[in-house]
Amino acid sequence: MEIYINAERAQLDVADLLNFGQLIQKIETDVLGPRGEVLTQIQLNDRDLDEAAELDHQNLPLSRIQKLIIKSTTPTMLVLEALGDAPTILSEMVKVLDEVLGSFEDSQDSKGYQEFVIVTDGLSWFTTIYSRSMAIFQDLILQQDLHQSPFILESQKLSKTIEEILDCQSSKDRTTFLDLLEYELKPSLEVLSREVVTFREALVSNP
Amino acid sequence: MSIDLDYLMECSPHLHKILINKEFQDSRINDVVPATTRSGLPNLILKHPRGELTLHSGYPDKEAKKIYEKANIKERSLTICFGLGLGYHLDYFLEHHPHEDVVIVEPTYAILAQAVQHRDLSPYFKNSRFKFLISADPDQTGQALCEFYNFYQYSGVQVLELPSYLTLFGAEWERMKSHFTQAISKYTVNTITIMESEGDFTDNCMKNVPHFGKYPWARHLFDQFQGIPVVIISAGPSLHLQFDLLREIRNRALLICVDTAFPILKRQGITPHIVCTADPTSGNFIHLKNMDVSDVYVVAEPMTYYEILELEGLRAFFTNFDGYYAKYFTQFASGPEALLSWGSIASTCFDLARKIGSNPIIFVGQDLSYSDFLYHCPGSRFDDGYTSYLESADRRYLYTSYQSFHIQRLLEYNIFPEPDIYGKTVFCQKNHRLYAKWFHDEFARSSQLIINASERGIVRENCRQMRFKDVCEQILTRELPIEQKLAELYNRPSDYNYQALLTDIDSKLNTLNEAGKTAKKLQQECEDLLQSKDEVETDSGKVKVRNSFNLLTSQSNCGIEDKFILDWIDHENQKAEMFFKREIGKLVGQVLSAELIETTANFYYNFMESRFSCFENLGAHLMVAKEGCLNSMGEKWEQTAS
Repeated sequence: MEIYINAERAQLDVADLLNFGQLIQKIETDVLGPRGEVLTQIQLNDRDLDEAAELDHQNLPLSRIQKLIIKSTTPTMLVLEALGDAPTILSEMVKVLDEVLGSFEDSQDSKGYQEFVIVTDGLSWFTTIYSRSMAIFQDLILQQDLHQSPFILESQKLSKTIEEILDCQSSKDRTTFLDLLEYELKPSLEVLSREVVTFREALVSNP
Repeated sequence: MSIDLDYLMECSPHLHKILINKEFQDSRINDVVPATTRSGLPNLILKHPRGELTLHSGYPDKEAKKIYEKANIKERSLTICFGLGLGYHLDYFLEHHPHEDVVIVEPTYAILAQAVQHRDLSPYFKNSRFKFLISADPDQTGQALCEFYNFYQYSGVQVLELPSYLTLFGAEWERMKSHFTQAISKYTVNTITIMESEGDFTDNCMKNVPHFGKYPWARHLFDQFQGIPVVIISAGPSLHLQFDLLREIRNRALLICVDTAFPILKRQGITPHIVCTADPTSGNFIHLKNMDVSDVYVVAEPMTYYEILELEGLRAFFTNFDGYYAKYFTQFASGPEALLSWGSIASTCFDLARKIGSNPIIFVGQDLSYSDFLYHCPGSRFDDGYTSYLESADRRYLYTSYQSFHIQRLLEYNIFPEPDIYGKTVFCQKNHRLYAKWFHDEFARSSQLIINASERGIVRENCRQMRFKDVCEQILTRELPIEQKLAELYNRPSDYNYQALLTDIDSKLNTLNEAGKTAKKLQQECEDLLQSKDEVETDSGKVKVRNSFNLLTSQSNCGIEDKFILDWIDHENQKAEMFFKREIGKLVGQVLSAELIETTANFYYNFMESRFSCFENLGAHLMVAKEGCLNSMGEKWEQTAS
């Protein structure tokens, strides 16, 4: 079995391990933990694993692992990478949102709700990135007065909008739900997709 | 804010009383509570048994613009507004069309009672162009809507639909529309001509002229298959039960299928002999588009969607359903070519089977119901929808079974229980019942043995029910030279008389041209009549007026005697024709007065205007037909010369 971590061959004692799940756990505890890194990608026997596939392979015996490639990074880099991806992802969310609104406009409500699930996945991703940014760069944000930056203000507004959307979904108020999507959420995502670039630059330029 | 409702008292004391005293009960609305829009304007929240719904968007101006744009407003159309709400959308409409008539449909007093308390709605109640229909009974409202539709004034209907009303009362609104269109259709041959104003039928007939001589007509098939068994294949859900047997019997029976069944059969490796298609819209073209049709014969009608007749390798026979234009073009073929068409193309397949002399006539896939809770026949292209449905979000639909996919689809329709061939309950639509009844009646009139081998569905009377397996084993037992026979009939030389058609079209174009001039002259006569309306008190004036009326009445057909053209005018100009005849009828027997002269002269003037534009439209249609005719004759001439 060959194990590579960030392109370097790793030597690990696997004598006590039975399966893939235990191996990953050991790598996280013994190798990545001390380095302050988190695991970002797993390639098992030349196949990329997403989270679901990783779970599926938890009990895979070690004997069936020929090659394991692990990529890791620090939480700071992870957040910066995600913020780098954010303009593209947020723009894509706006496009999906347009499709959602189109479906509701054509009275295809069930299709609209199905498509909206993609937007909620995106919102969940963004919320995670935002809260991690706040936690990791807390001092820097205070020093640089970034808490008044358009990105953070809009993100806070977005958080309220999401709450209102959830309320509407539970009360089934279609009118307000669509209002929030079109006149609150969509403009917010558009602002964020622009402002996240400046925000990230501010973080990068102040290590 | 308190709104003074005196205006309501003045306009409609009865409504005022109802709204003030809240003399209504509506289980669809639990409560209506005040709210505000984002800019602080009044809004309402409707609490209903399933949750709550804000009446207007928080941005009512934007909502109004959307509603307006969606309605695609045209002049001379009746505007129906489904839901007054707080009227923001009507404000926007009135800004753009201050002089249009509007019928407001309110399905409940519950919202109106609160709306009048929170916004001044007097501009609508006081506006004489606004009419209100308030009722929780959609059937009643649908019927009442017809009273507002005037064929003289309007050439269509447009609807401003308040989205919150569609959410709450969508089903009722569909029923209202359905009743309205049904009632309107009493006055028109086809409701679609009012609601859509599409000229598919006419367009196709004209565009298809070049094909009339290219393909033989159905008469060549008539009586040519005496005693040959025919299997009519429809696309009902049960069709999938017979795929295996259908693959084996191609040389033992003539296989006639409906156009929707064709791609299903092809997918299963089954090639029918004949495909019947007649849909004039592009919708059904999807069944034949990109399909290899070179190994079948298509039975088409002049109004069949024109792209079907342009498919590569197509071999067709023309028939006619006796429609306005098809009947005309069929004259230039040499014999009786008509087949019945009653709602479903399967009716045409059946009539074809009778006229070609086939016996017995065997049906498969003729369910006319959602047998086994299936929305469509398994194995058809609709199944791709299921696959992509699952793939669209594989985890979410992990437990969506094929059966529940079908049930979800069929629940989108109004379905009714009906006993099937086994006496068990099956679900179908109302039109399925009507089609089944038509078949039952026609079976009783037919001398052939009719066998329903669908093994499912509601076609149960005046026919023998058999399993298709038994039909194959007991009846379809011998090989028959069907393919050779069809090829021989198809290859008979065309006898379509383009020369006679061309001569006749030219003569009709001349007639229409002259009629147009006469219409203009008669309009001038109407204007002269208006000028002299006040002379009616004098004897000479009376004579002058009478002479004018005599002229207008005697020449109302603008010199046209051609029966076909008169029929086409009736068809193309039906709204104006019906209205005019009705209204003029009402004036008969009234005392001659300046007012009567003005009314009558205006009627005639507008009637002539409608006829003039009708003549021009007919002329334009016939020019397309003429061009097709000339092209075909040119090709024929080139073929002969070479």
